[in-house]
Amino acid sequence: MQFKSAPTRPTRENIVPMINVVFLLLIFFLITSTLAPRPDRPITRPTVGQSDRAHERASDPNYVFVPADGGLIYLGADNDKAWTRLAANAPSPIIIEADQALPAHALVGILSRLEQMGLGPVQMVIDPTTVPDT
Amino acid sequence: MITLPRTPIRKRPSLTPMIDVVFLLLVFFMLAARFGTDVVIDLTTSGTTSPATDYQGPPRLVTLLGQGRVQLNGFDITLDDLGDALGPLMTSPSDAVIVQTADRATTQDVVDTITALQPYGIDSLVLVGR
Repeated sequence: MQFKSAPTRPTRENIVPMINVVFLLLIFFLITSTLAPRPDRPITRPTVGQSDRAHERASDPNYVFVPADGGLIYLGADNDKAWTRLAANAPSPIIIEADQALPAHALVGILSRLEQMGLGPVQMVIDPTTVPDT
Repeated sequence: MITLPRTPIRKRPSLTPMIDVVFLLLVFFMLAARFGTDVVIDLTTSGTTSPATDYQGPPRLVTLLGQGRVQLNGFDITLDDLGDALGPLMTSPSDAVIVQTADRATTQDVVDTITALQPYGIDSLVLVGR
């Protein structure tokens, strides 16, 4: 009479390849990502249709945020501190992410102050309704 | 009788806590990262707030009244017609155009005006607040 041989104990899965992949993913995210402090108030970007003037650029954490109420936020600082940091860093170009409902005179005030400080050129982040070819 | 000490069996260190931490880091970076590109337009034209050259020619005053209402030299006009209407008033596309913003005008109106005039090569906009 023949008995079935007792089932062998399952061998443990080799998890080393998985760890390798996870480490590679971790390094990928560490290198490629930008950790950007976002303003606590939501910002709705101005929309633009097809325009040759619009062009793409890589996301940047150092945007100058201008919510609809007109305050300036730069690198997590508000208003006067933000202006001080802006003057100290003097980024070029200056990328403004302003709310579409921001009063135009507030935008003009910010642009003229930037020009008085000798900062520029200035670009504005928009929400393209159609992505430009360039 | 001599008893020899048993050689201790080396246990493999457990990898599980490290994998837990690495997974947590991975999830954090995946959630916190910003990727991709943004679309921008140039705001600094040859004269954002001050014209690069002296103003020449007939008046070219574009008034943004807000909610899409635009006036050229005091007369209502649509954004689509603005470029054509400015043409006869300019000797070259680099001539300055004064863009005045009324109280109710928003950033969206300014962006709309900039992009509406762009196909005509008009980029010397002088933005002034009211």
